[in-house]
Amino acid sequence: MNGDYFFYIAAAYGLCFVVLGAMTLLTFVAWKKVRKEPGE
Amino acid sequence: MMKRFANPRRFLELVKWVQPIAVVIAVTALALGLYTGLVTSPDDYQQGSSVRIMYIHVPAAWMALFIYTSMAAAAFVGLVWKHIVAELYAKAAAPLGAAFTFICLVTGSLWGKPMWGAWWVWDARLTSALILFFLYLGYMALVDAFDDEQKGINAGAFLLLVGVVNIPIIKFSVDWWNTLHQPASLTRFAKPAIDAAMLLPLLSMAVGFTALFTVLVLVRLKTEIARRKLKIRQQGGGA
Repeated sequence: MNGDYFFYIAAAYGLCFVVLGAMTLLTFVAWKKVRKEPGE
Repeated sequence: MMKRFANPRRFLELVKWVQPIAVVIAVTALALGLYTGLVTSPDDYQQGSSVRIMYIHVPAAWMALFIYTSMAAAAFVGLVWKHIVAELYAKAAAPLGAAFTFICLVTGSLWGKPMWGAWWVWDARLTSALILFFLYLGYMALVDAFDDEQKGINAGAFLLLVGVVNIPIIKFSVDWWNTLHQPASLTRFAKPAIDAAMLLPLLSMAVGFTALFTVLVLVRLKTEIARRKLKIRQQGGGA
């Protein structure tokens, strides 16, 4: 891979993994939270 | 089969063995997709290295369409057969569908700027994909707008069924209208118009995204089922 378009590629991959990482984190935090509720 | 998994307990038993398999597939496919996409795949003869954006843009677009279609199918099953898991599936999948649509739109914009010279054009494909994003947001807002969760889920199901008309528009927009967006490189019946060295990262990322979606939607479904159980208990209705 040459250095052309580095900004665009880095921004696209970075954004993709930030969004998917955030969704993963939120999903597991919500699951942990509901598991801690009394009665569950 | 459908009736069998209408019982959340049976569904949760299925999740217990599907989830770890999906985790392994997601990690392996995403690692392979990233390696082949960023390291071993060649630059395009016209687009140079910007073609690497395709390996996340196209699978994200596929996921956006697939998730919405699956949500609409689940909404139909939920409305007609009062299938609890199907009803909750649409609610659980919506934020993930919105996330993949957002990734598709933004990575498309990041690819469009160097190739087309514009971050955005009101092209048929781009506009219909933006409408899909608003449909996801609208569905989530509508489901949460009611005090009675069931009413929200039913109203959302109607929105999903009406909005499904947008899916063929997105898919065929590049064939029906003269658009700046390129037509599909992969079709079910024709030989792929893409080299194997580029097809491998594309398909790896698609498998990785699908497996990641499977993991996340199953966890979100488990959360929704647990929430509903707690609510019933708090209302004194028993489990």
